[in-house]
Amino acid sequence: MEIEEQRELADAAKKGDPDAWERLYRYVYPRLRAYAVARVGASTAEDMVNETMARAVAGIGKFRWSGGGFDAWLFGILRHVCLEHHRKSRSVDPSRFTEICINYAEPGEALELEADVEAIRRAFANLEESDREILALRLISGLPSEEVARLVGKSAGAVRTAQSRALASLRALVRLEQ
Amino acid sequence: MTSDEELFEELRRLARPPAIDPPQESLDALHRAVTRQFAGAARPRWWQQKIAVGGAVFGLILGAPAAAFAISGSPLPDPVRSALHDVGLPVDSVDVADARSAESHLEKALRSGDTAAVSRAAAHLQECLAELDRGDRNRMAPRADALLQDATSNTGSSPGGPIVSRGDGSSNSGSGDRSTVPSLPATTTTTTATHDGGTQGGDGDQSTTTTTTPSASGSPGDQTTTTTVAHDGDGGGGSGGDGATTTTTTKSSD
Repeated sequence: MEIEEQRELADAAKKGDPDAWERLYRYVYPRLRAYAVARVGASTAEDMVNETMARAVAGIGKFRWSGGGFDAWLFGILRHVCLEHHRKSRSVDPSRFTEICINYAEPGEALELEADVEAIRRAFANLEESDREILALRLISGLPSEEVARLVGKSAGAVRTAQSRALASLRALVRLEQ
Repeated sequence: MTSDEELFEELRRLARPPAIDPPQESLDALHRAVTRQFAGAARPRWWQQKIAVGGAVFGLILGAPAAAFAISGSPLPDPVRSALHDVGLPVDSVDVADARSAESHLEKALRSGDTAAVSRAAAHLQECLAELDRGDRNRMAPRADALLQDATSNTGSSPGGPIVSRGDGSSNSGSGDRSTVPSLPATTTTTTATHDGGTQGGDGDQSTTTTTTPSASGSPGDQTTTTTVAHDGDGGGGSGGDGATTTTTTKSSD
C-alpha cells in the first residue's frame, strides 16, 4: 500500500469510516500477527491483535500522522499490549522470538533451509532480550530504524547498533553450530 | 552470509509473513468497535440533545436581554432580573433594583432643589426600602439613610412613613401586608441602627428602627414612638432569615 493511500485511509478511519478501518486492518494484519506470535506465541497472538485494534479504534482521536504512518502507531500499541501480557503472565519465553523464522517460511524453503533455520532459531534465543526485540521489530514490522527507535524509546543510532550486534551474534552462533 | 545487510535481508525473507486475512470474527469485532465508537460521537443520545436544546433556549432567554443590557446600559427587565437572581447570578433582586432607582431619583431631586419632588422621591424610597428583606435593607441603609436625612434637611420635614423592619422579610408594619405606612405630617422622624458593622450575614445581626410620629389628632405634644428590633439569629445573611422581630409602641403626651 502506498503511503499516500495509507494516509487517506487513516484520515477516513479517524472520521469513523468502517471500510477504511477494514482495509487498514487487512493490510497490516499479517505483520501484526507475526509480531504477536514472536512475542507471546501463536496461541494468544490473535487476542493480542484484537486488543490492539480495539485500543486503536478507541484512541484514534489521539493518532497523529508521523513518518512511520498508521502501522507504526499500531505496532506501538501492540508492543504495549504484549508487554502487559508478559507482566500479567509473569513469564517471558525467549524462544518465542524464534518462531518468526519457522512459522512464516514457505514449506519448500523451510525444507531447503532447514539446517539454517534451526541454527538461526537457536541463535535467536541466545540474543540479548533488547537486541532480540529490536531485531524482531525490524524484521517483522518492516519499519525503518527511526520508527523502531521511537517505539522502543531509543535513538535511531542505538537501534542500528543493536541490530548490528544482534546480526553479528547470529552469524557467529550459526557458524559455531555449523 | 557475507555482510550484515545480506543476513538481514535473508532473515527478513524468512520472517516475512504470508498474506493472510484476519479471521471473520476479528473483522466483525472491529466493525462493532468502530460503530460503537463513532455512533456515539456522531449522534448524541436523546437526553443529551434535550439538555443541549434546553440550555440553548435558556441561554437565549437570559443571555439576549443581558447582552442587550450590557450594550445599551438600560435596566434589565424585571422577569430577567428575577430569573438571573434566582439562579444565583450576581444580579440585584427586583426590589433592590427598585430601591436603588428610588435612591437615584431622590438624589436627583435633592440636586434640583425641588422640595415637592424631594418629598415625593423620599416617600417612594421609603416604600421601596420597606419592600426589602432585612439583609438587603441593611446593605442599602448607609446611603439611603444619608439621602433621607438630606431630604429631611431639605424639606424641613420627614417626607413619609417610617422604615418598618420586617422579621420575615416579606411584610411591613408587623401586620404581614405590604402596604406602606401612610404619610404623616412633618414631625415624623425615623432612625435606623444596624449592629455588627452593617454587613449582611453577621452572626447575631440586629437592626433597630425607631419611629416617632405625632398623633393623628395633631396635638403637638402627643406622639407615638415605635421601636422595632429585628434579630437575624441564624447569621444567614441577606435572604431575610428567620429572625424574630420585636416591636414596641409607646404613646406619650405632654
